[in-house]
Amino acid sequence: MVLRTLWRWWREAFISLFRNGWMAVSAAGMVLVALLILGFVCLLALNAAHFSQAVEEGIDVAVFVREDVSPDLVSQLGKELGKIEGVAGITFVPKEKALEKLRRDLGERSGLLNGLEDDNPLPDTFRLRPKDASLVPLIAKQAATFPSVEKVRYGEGVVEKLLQLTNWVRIAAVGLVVLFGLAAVFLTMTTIRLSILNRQEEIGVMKLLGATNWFVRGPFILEGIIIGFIGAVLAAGLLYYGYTSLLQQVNEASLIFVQPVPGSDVAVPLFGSLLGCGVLLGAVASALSIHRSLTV
Amino acid sequence: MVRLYNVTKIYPNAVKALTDVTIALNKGEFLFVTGPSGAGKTTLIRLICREELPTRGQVIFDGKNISRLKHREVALFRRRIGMVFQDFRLLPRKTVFENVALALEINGVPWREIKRRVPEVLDQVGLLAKARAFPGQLSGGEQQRVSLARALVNRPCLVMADEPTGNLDTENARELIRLLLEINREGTTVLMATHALDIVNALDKRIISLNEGRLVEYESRGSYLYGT
Repeated sequence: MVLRTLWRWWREAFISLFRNGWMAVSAAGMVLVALLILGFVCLLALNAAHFSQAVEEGIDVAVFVREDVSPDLVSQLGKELGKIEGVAGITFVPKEKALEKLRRDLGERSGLLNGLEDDNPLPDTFRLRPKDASLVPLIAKQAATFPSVEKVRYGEGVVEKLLQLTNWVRIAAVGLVVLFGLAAVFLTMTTIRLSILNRQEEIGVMKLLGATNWFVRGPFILEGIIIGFIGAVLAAGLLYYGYTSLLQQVNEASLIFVQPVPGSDVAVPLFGSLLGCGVLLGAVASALSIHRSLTV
Repeated sequence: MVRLYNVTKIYPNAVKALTDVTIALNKGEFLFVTGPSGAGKTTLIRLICREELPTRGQVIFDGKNISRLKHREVALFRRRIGMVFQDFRLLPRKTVFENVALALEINGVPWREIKRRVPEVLDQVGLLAKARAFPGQLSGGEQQRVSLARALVNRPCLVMADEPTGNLDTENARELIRLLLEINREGTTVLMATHALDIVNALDKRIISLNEGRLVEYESRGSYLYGT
């Protein structure tokens, strides 16, 4: 009995999609457009969050050691600094390496540093990586209290502003996703509701012939699911193709210093969420739209 | 079989469609409900198939007050009635076969049985050759016969026809009446709402007349003269 019912739902849904051809195509097209916009905004938000994270991960605290501190005390200081709350990792940059790096950074003008090998003015440095970028000022404050520490730098003022900016980027991204998500819901609902209103008389006749609500509802919901699924697959496919092509262009041109989220990381969440959205929207929109027509 | 006791129907827009109507329809009977447009004929039919509920009074079908039926019971109850409408109400995107089969599918009849019964009933109304056509490809008379086939295929105990000849020419109307009389002879109760005087007067069947929602004539036979 259950199998027969399911078979009938599928048969009816497919026959109806086929015979209401243009209606089905336009409904799937609307779902496609809605999810395309939503997916685009999601990708944008994903990259914004990724960008913020990359920026925050780049923030650390540089602790400069006093010139006169003995190597033993330096290693002791390293251990103490590592114990500060909120420190995720610590790297020691000896003065020689710091000079080498400076030389590399200066490139052609590295000649300026000639002769400094024996009297290196750069201090030994510890770089403290925070667990969370917002902890940076606190870590810096604590590190400065050690007597062997000459100076602590973390880009005061700039870091706070940067953190504010990344927070705003995150909030804006979530806001946009919610906004466009709602727009996609309304667009899909309206489209499917219109296609059901178009067949209200059909529903009334079935009810007068003694059809139960599920007899009528089943194929309609399945139809909504199929329309949602088709729209979502097309939207996800187009977005994935567009995104990977764009990445290729960006990588070839090496335009930006932060790498975007790679295509392989995007594929599963993109397809998963859009398909989920499409199917769910199709089903819910059909179920809600048909509810009104079933009161005969 | 069907009893209406002091039924009044007032629609939400305050239109009083029926006022204090009491009638009885007996098993195996062929009953005409007549009256001019707006007399309440359609409302009467809609009350009997429970498309509408009475504002006051009771509609009893086989001893049961149909206002008290639950959701699922309403569906089961309607399967015992065959309906024929003036505007046919066929599903435009289903073939003739599928339109008739729908009534059986709703009743849970297996597909094998459907494939046997639908051609039988289409043959009965003379449309077997058009089984694969869509309603839009048929004439009005043919569409009405499909509608009748759909009403008959479940072998209902009652067939209600609301102005079934309203959109048909004389010849098609005569053919439809012939079919209704035939199923009535086989034992099906028939209630037909019409204002076609010639049809009513040509047959010696019981008539009830409505005017402005009130019963104006009860128990006359083949002598409907309203409006003449």
